[in-house]
Amino acid sequence: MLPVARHTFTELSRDGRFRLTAALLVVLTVVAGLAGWQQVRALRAEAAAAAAGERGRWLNQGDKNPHSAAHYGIYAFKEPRPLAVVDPGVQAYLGSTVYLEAHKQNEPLYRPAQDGTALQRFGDLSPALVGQALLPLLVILLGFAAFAGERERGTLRQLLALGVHPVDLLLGKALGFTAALALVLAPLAVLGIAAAAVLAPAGQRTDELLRAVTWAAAYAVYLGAFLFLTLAVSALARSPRTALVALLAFWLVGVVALPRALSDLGRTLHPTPSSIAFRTELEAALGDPHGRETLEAQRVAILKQYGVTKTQDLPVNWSGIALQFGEERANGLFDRFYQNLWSTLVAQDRIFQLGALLSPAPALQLVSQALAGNDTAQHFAFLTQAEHHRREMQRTLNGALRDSKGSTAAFAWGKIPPFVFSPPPFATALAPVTLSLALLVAWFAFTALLALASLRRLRA
Amino acid sequence: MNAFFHLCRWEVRRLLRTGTARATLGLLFVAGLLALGAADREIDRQAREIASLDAHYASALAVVAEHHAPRAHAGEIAYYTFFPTDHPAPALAKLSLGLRDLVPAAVWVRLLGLEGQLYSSAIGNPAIQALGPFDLAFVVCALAPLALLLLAHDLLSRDRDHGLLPLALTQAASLPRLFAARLLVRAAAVAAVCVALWVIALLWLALPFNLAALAWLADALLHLACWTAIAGLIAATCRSLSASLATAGTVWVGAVVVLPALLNLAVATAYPVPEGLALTVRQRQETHAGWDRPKPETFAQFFRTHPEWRDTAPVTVRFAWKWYYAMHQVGDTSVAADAATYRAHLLARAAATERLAWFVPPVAAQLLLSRRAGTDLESHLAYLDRIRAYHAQLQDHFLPLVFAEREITSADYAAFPRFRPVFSPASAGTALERLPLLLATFALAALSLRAVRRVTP
Repeated sequence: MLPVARHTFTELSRDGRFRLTAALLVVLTVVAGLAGWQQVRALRAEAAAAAAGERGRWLNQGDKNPHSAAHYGIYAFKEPRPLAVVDPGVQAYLGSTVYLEAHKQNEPLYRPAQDGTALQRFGDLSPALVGQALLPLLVILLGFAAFAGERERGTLRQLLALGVHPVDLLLGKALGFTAALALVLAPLAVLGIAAAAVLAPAGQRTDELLRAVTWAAAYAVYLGAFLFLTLAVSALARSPRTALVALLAFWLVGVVALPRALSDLGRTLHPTPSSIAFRTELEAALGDPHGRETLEAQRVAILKQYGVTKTQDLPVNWSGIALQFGEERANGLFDRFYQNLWSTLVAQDRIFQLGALLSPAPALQLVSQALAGNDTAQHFAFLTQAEHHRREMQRTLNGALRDSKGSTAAFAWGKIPPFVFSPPPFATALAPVTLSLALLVAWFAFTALLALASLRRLRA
Repeated sequence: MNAFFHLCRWEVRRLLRTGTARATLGLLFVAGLLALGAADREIDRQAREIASLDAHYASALAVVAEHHAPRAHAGEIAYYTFFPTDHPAPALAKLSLGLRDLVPAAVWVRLLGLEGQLYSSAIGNPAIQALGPFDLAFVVCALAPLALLLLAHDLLSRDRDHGLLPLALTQAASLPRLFAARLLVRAAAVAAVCVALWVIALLWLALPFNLAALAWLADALLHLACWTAIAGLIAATCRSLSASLATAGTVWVGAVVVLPALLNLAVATAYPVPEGLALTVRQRQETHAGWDRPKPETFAQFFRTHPEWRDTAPVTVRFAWKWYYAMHQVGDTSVAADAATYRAHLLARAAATERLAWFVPPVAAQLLLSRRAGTDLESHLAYLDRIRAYHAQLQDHFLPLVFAEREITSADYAAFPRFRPVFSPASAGTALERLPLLLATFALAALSLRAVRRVTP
């Protein structure tokens, strides 16, 4: 097995075309990684500056009614995640800031993708794109002739006649290719680990490093699946050319076309509601006059509790109570509406996940985004935390208003902590893509078995 | 000429007998049909959204009327009313979606500060948007070139590998002639699939048959012509089958996957557009700072842009609608320069993309096709301009009522100005737009002609 591996590796490392392609891919990975690094740093500086400005403004509001401050609101920013360097995922298609104000759960604002040009639609160049789309192509180009070529030249028969066991031949070749591919995969892994080590905030470094290592491992498994598939097809095919055409067709359908078709299928089966319908229905529910009646009942109950007949006679400020009551009623509606919307998007992603039964590419795509922290689920985590912050902020401000009766002291604005997004830890981040992860590993196992099974055809 | 015609006929029959060719063309056709279906569903969804606007507006107005019966201050009514605007997809959007799946097809505006309302996005699944749309333009820009390369890269190398080239040459008068016949037949086969898809789109999706639709097809075919020249160059220069296949694959991945992504990165790095975020944040801050600013100061700033209200008496009460709307207008005015910069930078980015597209045919084609369909950035910016104009119209209607402290009843609602969508006129484009693709095609064709003359059997 080892001599075969050594021979395969030496042959490859002497092949000028392999060296050129590998060098190009490494350069591409590094360029994309450095550009990503630069972008993450710029975005982070922008978000940090904006957040600091907002915080300063918030703290220096002086003597102001807490409810006016609540209306003025504050922006919550999401810093780019360290691994956005290697996989920006859906980052550009999401808002990176939410406006937190009284009475309203806002949608995230401002998606950089809207500023895009015609180029945007061809995709962003990132190390993830290199790993997901281009490296499988390299695997195919390296390996399509592994058995079919030897068969055509007649060397396969010789090898088998020499008593080399087919399984040894397969594993040896796989090992040799793996050694060659490791050279190309290494920069990807190094970039991810470096980004996690350097860019992660102190408390999250271990978590991010774990993500980075798993991220690189996922790409290794993915390429391993492509390698075994290539070897299997090469063993089964009549000629190297047939093997190449079949493998390229699989790449084209599985890596380029399938994700797009799946997304279309997802949208057809679980249509996204239109923004218009979503907003008008929400507004209608919020404006429901039924709310006024319940508020009135609440007022009567409070008056009874304090044994007074007029709100002016209450020892507390009624408007604080009324405002908080309104907040809580609206919160229930926001929860219902946004949960509905998000569950539609999750259902669409589910179709995408199932698509990994047909090709390993959708599986890796989701796992990679999840590990990089740039998938839809972790975006929802940001929105949920921001909304939680908004509600806490309203509760504190309305509480201050309620207890402000007879006092003229200005509200201590520092009582509202700054918003800091704490990303879900490794295990939580991976949970929504468990199926994808399982399918990715299943693809590896399946292709390995396929390659073993295809060995029977070698003697034919 | 007659001999050349016979040669072509012979090549057509030979091509259609090979399984690979039939499979390639068949798959391209099926991909095209799927793409048409996908784009059709997306545009229909937008059309349904736009069609529902009137009903939503009417029911929202009914709610406003119910809550403010029998009459209420015009400022209050305006505050609670959402006015719909829409950007109907041009007919050809079903051929190339362009930016249509990213930018909203309809935007609600209120009489409040406009800048904060303009940049909302369509609700969409980010993971799906990131993949890019699957439409006929994608099939023409990315998949058709691949089909062409697969069919044509081995014009000579296959026969040469099998030692059949001398035999094949006996059929034709000369090698360049044989080469031309084979290349043109393969290009015509791929073009035929594209034309068939275009015809199906026109009939099935009931698209208008006009100059713009013809121009769309012409641009798609121009792109194929460019790739025919590329395929010719590969076929003429690569001696062996494996070399021509490897070169074709590399060229396709380079031109369709790597170069556009690399250019995207370059444009985004060279022309950062951070203003989008900053603009939204600043507008909100400016407007809300108005709550704490002395009212005369707000009015002084407002009168600078709206001198017709200069004689308004000072507001002494804590809240007045005229002060509220003046405050919002001041917020808009204070970020007007930022909004202009933002827009200028977006256009600069688009212009840079266009310049770079000279070197990458699929990008040039993508630009041309989305422009033919009216789904490009310019068309979205034009929609934003129309929203601006409409917002001004709303101000013209409401501000006189608000400043006169008028109360209105539901009978007055019918007089509210309505947004009138503009159907962007279909344009066939200019020759100048196509210059990059034309020049690239001629240059590559010249190169491949030279290469063919040098080929020896």
